[in-house]
Amino acid sequence: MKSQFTRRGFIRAVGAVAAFTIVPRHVLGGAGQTPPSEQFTRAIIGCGGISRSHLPMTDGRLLALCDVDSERLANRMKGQPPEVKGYRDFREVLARRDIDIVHICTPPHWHAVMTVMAAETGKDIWCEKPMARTIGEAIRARDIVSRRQRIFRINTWFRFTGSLYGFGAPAAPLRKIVANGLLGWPIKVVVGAATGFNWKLEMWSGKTNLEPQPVPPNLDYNLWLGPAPFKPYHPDRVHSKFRGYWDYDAGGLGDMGQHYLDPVQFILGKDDTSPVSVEVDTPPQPDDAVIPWRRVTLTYADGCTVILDGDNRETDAPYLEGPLGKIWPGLRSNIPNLARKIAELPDLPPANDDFAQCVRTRQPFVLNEQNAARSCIMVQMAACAVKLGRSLKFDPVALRFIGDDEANRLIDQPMRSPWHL
Amino acid sequence: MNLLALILLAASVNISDDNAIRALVSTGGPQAERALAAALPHADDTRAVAIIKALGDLGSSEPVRECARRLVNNAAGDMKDVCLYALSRTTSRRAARLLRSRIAEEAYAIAYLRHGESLAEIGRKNDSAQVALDLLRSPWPVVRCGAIALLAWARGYAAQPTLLAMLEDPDPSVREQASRHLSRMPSDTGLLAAFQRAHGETRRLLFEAIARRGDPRRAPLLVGALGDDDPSIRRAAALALHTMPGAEVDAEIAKALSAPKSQAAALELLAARRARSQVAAVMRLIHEPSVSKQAFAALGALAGPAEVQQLIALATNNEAVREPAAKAIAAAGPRMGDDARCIAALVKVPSWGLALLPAFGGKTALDAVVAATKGPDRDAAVRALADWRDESALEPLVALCQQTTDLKLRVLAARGAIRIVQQSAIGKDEKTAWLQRIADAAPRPEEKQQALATLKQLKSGKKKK
Repeated sequence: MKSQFTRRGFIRAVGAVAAFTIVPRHVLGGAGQTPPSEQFTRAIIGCGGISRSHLPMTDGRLLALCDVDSERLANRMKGQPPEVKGYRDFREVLARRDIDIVHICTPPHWHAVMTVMAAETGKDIWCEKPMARTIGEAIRARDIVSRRQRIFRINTWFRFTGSLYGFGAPAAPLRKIVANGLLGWPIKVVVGAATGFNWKLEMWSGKTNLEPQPVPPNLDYNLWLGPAPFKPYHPDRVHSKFRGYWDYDAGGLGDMGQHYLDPVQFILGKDDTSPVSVEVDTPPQPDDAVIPWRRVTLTYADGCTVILDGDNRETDAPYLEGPLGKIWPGLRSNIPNLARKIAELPDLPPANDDFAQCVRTRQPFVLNEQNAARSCIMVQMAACAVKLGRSLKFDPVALRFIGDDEANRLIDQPMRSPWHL
Repeated sequence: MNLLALILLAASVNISDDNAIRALVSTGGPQAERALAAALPHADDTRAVAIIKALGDLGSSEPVRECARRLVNNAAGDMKDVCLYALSRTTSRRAARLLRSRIAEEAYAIAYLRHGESLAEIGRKNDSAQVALDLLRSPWPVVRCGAIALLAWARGYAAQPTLLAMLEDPDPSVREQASRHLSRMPSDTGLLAAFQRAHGETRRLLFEAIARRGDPRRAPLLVGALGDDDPSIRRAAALALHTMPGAEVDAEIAKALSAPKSQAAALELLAARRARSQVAAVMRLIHEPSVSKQAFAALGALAGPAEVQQLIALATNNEAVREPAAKAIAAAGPRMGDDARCIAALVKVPSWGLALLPAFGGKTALDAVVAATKGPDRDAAVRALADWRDESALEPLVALCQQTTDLKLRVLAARGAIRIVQQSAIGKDEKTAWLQRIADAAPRPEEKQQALATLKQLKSGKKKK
């Protein structure tokens, strides 16, 4: 925490209103109010739709908004207090010493670069999913965040709160069931429409015949591309469409993958490892655009499998299946008295799920750079196999594909100059 | 001519094409490095930035001289950034000397730290340890944090004294980093000794380092800390004990039940661990005013049929503790299954006992409640039935809805049945059939409409996203 800056902000705030003699309650603090000197200062980079959900944060004062599109920035700036400044170039935001937390709400090809740069300028980070666009970027971001002792959270939450997407029950009882052996071992997980998970594959498909178009004057397209390879501008590449192109994301896998697979890692107790193979059933993917795939199967060394059901082949599949039992959506099960058995199992340890508190105490958030990198790696393993259209073997310790140079080149993809990790 | 040769040819002629440079980086190897380095002297600034960055990606020593020259001549902006990046990625000693000479500047300090991390990646422990030691007094906390991580990796246990000293750092993130790396050391002997001598924040950090190790041999120390004056220490102790397996640990935690300052924490822990073996010790504390509430809550998680019967007797005879006891019975209910003695005991106290039976569930409890709907306690029984937690209560609720003359009870039954269908995991067809029956049996238009609206929602497939 850089308290001297927040204190200065406080003095400035009080000074500004002193002339009117009425000091707003939230400035001075009081019962139920946090004074500015104890609040975190924040910046949001990327002003697309998802940034709306980052605007409110308890104990946080927004000081900066940033976007390479001046129209988007102007829209998001509307109604903000005067202390919030707008920026086009995120490097100017990171250069500010008075900002504690950076929210990264850009397309995924920026996530790792911004995470690393933010970590090295002493910021804590709240990053949209997926954590990174490649396995190599996820590893690098994880390492730098950890080595610099930054507090990091990825913006997914299903492992620690709320119902598990469309499954109809939270992840915690599933973790208890699996950890205590009620299903036996190994476990098969089906992630698809039948179990409550929509992969949105059509929605996030790209187009293969984009004709170059003039860049609109409000957009700094060069900075939007950043580390991604240069490709002529087309509106389908950018805002709200970018997920359909491999250079920026991985279609529905990129959008929903970390939401869906992070809880799987948690439920199976696999936060410190990754699958050893990935098999795919997909039509050949174009170089540029992502098109729907049919099925991806990830297998761990101990035989646990995770099936990503892209074409809704499974109709009444259980979400979890082991040799001793099955669990369907809504915690339906063929295990007698399951609710009673769950009640008898020890509670899960309490999780640090208050980001502001984690920043204050320097304790890792429950979904931090370590476990987020693992679930991101799982997503990107699947993306690599889909892109190449073939099955791959993976070393979960070295975090490299085995015997496949082409696949390993997808792990570490060079960035466009001058961007690097 | 193979692809690499073609790329190299293109590169040697004109290396401005970003895709060619990216292809060279992807291909890697000495030939790619040489091609890039050969193009560097002839490149304009924009091109040079791209080439130096690409050589940095490859971890090449080729650009060291050029980067050093440009940095000495005060390169700025992207050029300075990529030169520092390239130097940080190489293992060249010349690069190390240049970076080290300017670590008073933040960008150089970061680059030097990254250089040390590059050395660590190829196993040069002594060199990376030297980088870490050079940076431990850096003015920038992130650099000191990085130096701690690097030193801990390079020196292992031998770094412990330095890490202990870093617990006194003025920055909280640096202190936390030192504590985290101390917890990963192969032995905690030094930590324990330091903990005995430490005070305040350092004591907390040392304790957290010990606790994070999760060593069951330290359970007595952790249990003792459950009553510590420092809430952070109490929290760290509780978290470590929560995750530490074994009945021996349960027994150790139970010792804290005799110490007033740690009783509440011990009760919470025993409950969370489902330490059934300690239920008698927990039961003894329900009359202890300072922790009675926590003891009842713990019994909700731990009590078996015998204890539940004791709780029922207690609640029946002592109105003062009826509320917490009833809560404990309800919490324990799902674990009781069809325990006929508990159920019979609750039916005997209809004013509050029937309301707890939905938590028990099961056939015996359901039969008891259905029977009670025909007796003098029918109001309480219908309410209990309407609160039932699974679809087994649907048939008697619909029957009540159809047959009872009391409008109030028919309304209760209809509403309860609709709720159960909404929350049930039964199939769509079965839900449809139930809702149709409820709509037919409902006594008032309000409940009929509620059932039909649920039916419509079900048919349209609209669910929460």
